[in-house]
Amino acid sequence: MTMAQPAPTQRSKRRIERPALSWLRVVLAVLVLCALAPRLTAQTRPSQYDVEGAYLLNFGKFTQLTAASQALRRATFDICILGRDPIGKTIDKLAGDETIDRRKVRIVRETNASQARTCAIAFISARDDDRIREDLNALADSDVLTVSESPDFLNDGGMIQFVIQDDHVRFSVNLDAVRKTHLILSSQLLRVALYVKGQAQPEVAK
Amino acid sequence: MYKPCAKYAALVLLAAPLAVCAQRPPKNEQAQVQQLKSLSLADLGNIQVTTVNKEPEDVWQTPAAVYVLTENDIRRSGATTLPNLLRTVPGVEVAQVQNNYWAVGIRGFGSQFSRGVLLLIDGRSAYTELFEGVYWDVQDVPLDDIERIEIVRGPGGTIWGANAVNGVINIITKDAHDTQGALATGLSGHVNRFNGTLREGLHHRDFYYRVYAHAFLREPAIDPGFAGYDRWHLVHGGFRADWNASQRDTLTLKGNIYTGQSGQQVGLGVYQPLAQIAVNGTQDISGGDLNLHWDHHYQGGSDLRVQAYFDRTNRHGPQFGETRSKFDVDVVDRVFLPGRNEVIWGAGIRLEPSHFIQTQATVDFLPHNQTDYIYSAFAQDTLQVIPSRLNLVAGTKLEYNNFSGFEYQPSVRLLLNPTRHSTLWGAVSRAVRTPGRLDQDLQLTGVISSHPPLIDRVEGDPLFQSEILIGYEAGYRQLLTRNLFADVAAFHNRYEKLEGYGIPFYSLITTPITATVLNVPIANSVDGNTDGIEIAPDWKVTPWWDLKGNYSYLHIKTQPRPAFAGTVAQVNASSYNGTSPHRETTAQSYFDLPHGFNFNLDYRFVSRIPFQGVGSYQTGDAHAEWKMDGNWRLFVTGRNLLQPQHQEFNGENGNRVGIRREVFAGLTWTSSGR
Repeated sequence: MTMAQPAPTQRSKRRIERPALSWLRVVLAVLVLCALAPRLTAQTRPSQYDVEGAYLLNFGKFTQLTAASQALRRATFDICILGRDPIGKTIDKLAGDETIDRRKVRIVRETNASQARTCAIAFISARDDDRIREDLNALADSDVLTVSESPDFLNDGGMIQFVIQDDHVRFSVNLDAVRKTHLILSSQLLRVALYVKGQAQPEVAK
Repeated sequence: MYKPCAKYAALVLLAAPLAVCAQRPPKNEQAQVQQLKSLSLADLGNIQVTTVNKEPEDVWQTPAAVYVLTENDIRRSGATTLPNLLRTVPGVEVAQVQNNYWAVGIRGFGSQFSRGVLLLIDGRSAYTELFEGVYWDVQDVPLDDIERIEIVRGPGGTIWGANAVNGVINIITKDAHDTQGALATGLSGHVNRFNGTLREGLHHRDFYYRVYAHAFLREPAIDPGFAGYDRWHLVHGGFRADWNASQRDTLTLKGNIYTGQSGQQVGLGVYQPLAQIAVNGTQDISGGDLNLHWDHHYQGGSDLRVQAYFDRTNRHGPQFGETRSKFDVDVVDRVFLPGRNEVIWGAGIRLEPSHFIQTQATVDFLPHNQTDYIYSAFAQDTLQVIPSRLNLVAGTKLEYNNFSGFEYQPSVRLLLNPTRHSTLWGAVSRAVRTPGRLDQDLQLTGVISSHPPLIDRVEGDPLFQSEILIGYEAGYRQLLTRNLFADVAAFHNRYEKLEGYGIPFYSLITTPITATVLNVPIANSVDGNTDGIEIAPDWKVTPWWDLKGNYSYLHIKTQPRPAFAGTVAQVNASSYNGTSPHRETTAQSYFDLPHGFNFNLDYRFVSRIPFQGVGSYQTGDAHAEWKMDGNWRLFVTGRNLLQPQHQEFNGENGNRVGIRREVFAGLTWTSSGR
């Protein structure tokens, strides 16, 4: 089989054509599927993390600092993703040229919680309680709105927890944890929350 | 064996080109971003999303072979009973004995009462001391209420205590916060005649609760005489309340009450006239439970859980009756000690007053009234040798029970996380299955011949000791790519003093009849070992297509202990060797389709179990759902589709029933559009 292939005669050409046709079919089928696949994806549903990204931006809009806050205010409104990044690129696109409180929104990936103390919002990707507590400790007294999808996040002292309910992304709020900071959550945000830990009555509406 | 392999390979091959093209970003991504941008906070909660398949973070931190069935897995499996849900779990052998009974084994030793497997429902043990196992026909949890099921293969005695020898099945129900609003669901088919749930979730300030009612009726399987004796129905009501009593305390109170009937055919020896007969009959089954949990979180991350429950079961059938109450209190505390130590320790007490109701002279447990008890304590330390990289876990459980006295169940585990998403673990553990009433107190008489009168009597031995397992395990799991997860676990288990028959002897009796008796004592007469490997990949091919599967291999070799060599214990050894399938393969495909449709295909292959007279089989299920709008969901399920009927296990009285192909359809309504 190492010999050079002879130039195809007319006959052998025809012989080759048949299998080539069936391969063509397979390629066509794959192409059709490929063409279909992204359409299916787009037509069906956004991913959970696309929606969580959109929530994060909205949380920024419905949260404010009290005048008493001494928190360092960066020139930009930083939404930080702490640790492994499950959210992906959609949030960057969503942030685009958005501004919150006249500050440009930036999406920042941080590996260390202590670097996130100047963020406006920190999304903690860890789902292990010990790691979450470490991260929350590092963020204590920093007026960062903490968000996670860890099932025990609110009990660990976090502020907002995403809850997947039957293919919908909802969130719960721990108002006790929010009260320890200078943050104020708008009543609109609390009204939409699945569940508000602490007190059901909103304080100052935005 | 080739067929299933080929099918599995075909599935994977089929998937490959799609994965390639699915990497391409969707064209109208921009449109989606715009749409997301335009949605209000409230709107965001109303759009349906594809959830990313992710292993819970705990999985990376667990030095044990753990598998989690999520809410999504449960709903989309189309299963309506707990044991059928477990069929997709690696290393778990589920065989349907008849319409209402299952033999569930973990890494072997499946039997009608699923011995050596501990079933916990929110921490409440469903183990019965009478038959040393689980009565699956009364384990009813509305599947919509289950948050997840965690299955731990391998010895779990150090934390869970006796009888978690081969594994633990942990059912965790949803917090009442997560079941607010109303739900009504019902389905009907020719086997699953009816299965319906009504649920209402309400709250008053911080006090959240739900109440529910569940009922079902299942038509019999196909038995050899077409008697249809195994009809099964149950009516079940319950509630769960969750209250955040303070910032640091949560209280949960839940309760259930049920009643139903579970049919069976039993073989019975009768004295007048002396004969061995088959009786078709119905067991009246009823019971209830009440559970209280109190969780307290200390400042600094430590926590305390106090759990108390009461459980009552009543069973009355053609063979016997029993009532049993269970009072249990457990305290578990978790503290962080200097030097990166996390210590969990706890103590518990369980009292089980029981009353055996004799309905046949030939079936007896003596004494009829007995209170079984367990006092237990455990401690386990997790030492972070290298934080986030290397953990050493060591601990032991100490128990004292009325059957076998003092028991200890230590284990040592090592967990290595080379990266955040890879785990290498190993463990050595000792676990025991403590004796129960069957081993120690049974008197079961059968008739071998009426002329001349010859009967056999299987007799429990009050000195029957615990079965002992020394288990060696190792495992590896890794997120190979963003979308591909693989979990591999291997084990070598050494069993000692397994239950079998002792050396039979003859005796003569004059009451209630004059007959020659072949006495067959129950004894710790079998030793053995098992080896195996379980491979479970999960591939999120595209955002709308998830492929999961598992392959489990089990080699089981038991033999009579030296003192019982060449005796009837050889039959027990053959029974152990020939009752667990050597190979099981499952594959599941989850499709999320446009317009609220989703579709599932399940395939499974189970190799033969010669001692039960069951050949290898393959079958499959299909489940299609359509979420019509925010409130309504329509679904159609087909189970065991590849043949009209198939057999899975030898039942009571030696009958193997045909498990039928079944199709059912149903409708679910939820009030809140969730």
